[in-house]
Amino acid sequence: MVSLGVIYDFIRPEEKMLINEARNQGVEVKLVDAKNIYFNISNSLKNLEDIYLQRCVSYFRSIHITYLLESFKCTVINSFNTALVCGNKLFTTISLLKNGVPVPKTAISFSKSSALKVLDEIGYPSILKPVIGSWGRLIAPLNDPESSLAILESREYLHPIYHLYYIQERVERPPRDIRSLVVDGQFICAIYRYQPPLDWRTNTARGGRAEPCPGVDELIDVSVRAAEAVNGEIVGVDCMEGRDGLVVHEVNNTVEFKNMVRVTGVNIPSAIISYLKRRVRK
Amino acid sequence: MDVALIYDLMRWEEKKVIEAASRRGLSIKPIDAKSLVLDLSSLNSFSADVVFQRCISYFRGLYLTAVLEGMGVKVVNSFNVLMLCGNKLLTTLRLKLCSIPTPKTVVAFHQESALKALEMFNYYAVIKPIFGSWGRLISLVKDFETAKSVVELKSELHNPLHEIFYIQEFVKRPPRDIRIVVVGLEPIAAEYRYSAGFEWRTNIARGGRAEKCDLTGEIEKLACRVAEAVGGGVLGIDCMESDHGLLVHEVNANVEFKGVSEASGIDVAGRIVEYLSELKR
Repeated sequence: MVSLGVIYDFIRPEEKMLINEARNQGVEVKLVDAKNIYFNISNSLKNLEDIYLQRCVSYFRSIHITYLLESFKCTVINSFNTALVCGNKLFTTISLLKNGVPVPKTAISFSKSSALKVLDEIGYPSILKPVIGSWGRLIAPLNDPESSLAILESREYLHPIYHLYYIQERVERPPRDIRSLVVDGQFICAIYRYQPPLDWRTNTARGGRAEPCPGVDELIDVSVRAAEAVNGEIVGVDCMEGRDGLVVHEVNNTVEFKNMVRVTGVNIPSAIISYLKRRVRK
Repeated sequence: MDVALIYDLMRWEEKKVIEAASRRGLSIKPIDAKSLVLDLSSLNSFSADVVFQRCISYFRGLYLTAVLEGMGVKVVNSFNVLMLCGNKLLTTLRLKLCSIPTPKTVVAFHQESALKALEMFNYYAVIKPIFGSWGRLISLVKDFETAKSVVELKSELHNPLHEIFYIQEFVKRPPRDIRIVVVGLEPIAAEYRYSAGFEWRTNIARGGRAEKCDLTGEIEKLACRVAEAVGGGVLGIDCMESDHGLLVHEVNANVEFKGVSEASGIDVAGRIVEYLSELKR
């Protein structure tokens, strides 16, 4: 019997589904509340599980715990490197580019004034994204010089992580994007995420509506290659339907999938738990 | 009877006031606010009777003024004037109650209602923090999605004052505004402030350029009414030339007057010293 550690900080519907599925498949589940644990790292760690599934919502909590467990020779899914790259949009874009995965045109600058210069070059409208963050939080449109100045200036009053100006073309696309799930290099399923009436961001956390999306060859190919580019074992790949084909804008290493299960009917928890069982035997 | 000038950073303006005083045989003692320790248990001793309070830090100046007034010191500007002028919402409210023309302004107290307020301007409006100087964080938005983003950003600043949404029409005006300097209740000089490059804000701190502006009857009359409305002192009144005449958008209780002195040739520092000497008597 395999023992699976599930590291979490909040139990979302996804965690519940995964825990139930693991028990159904005869996997012993050890729940690890990241908020309650501590590690005395000067001693060697005891009572570790065979394998850990990292599901923390907090990015920083997640990568630090994963790093620590990997240092003590544990297997954590997704790995530290995958989490580090996926958690940072700049690192993700670079990994995708290096592996020939199509991405939106992207620029990075490190001050307000150079951000304005970049915008002169790539033009309006563009989009400013924090390199770290989820659910579309603080992603802002840069539609004209005056309001861009206001948005860039406000950023200077935030944490230094927001002083990295990751600026992306505004891809001409239908009012939706595509999220696909890749497990162990296999495309599992995909959904369209339609933007809600009063937002241009498609995140379901912002009221975006999910609909099933057929797994056509181009989507399968791009999704699998994106997952491979970040060495992702269980990842959600977000892409947009641009004029010249799909472009990948994000890869999620702690993917939320309840809406995918609901609209596609695919048993995602089963796919994930089956993979984790195979992974232990490797 | 002694006069002191309290500062935290000595600017051109503070130096000129001290020079102008010594030319008139008046000694003004500079005191660094950062070095002050004031005893609230015995509010009966301060080394000056009149204080010209010039701290760049608004809150430092405000609370310092409260203590000094508690000690019986005459402070320019007074606590009440500072309180009012340091807050754009309170200023606009006071001006409105005194029937002084201001830009159309709407206030909301939550992200969602702020968006409703912005809708009244078809999402083309200026969102201003109710406190702060030099045009800091004043945002011009032109469409719904930008408005939404800017409103969202304000909440991330983790300062409840940024969640008081003060939203103003973008006044159709020449690329300049007018600053009038008032000493006591008397307008003494004015300047145009032209915005620089693609910056729409006219603040000199943002590269704005000062040019002489005549104290016309209209400007003088308006400045007197504003000075009266906020309680008088050493003030900078900012207004815009709209299609319907002058609209007052701000009153500065810690006015920088280098630009206006140079553009108008008026000895603003000298006039301030004369005003302080009168208070001393």
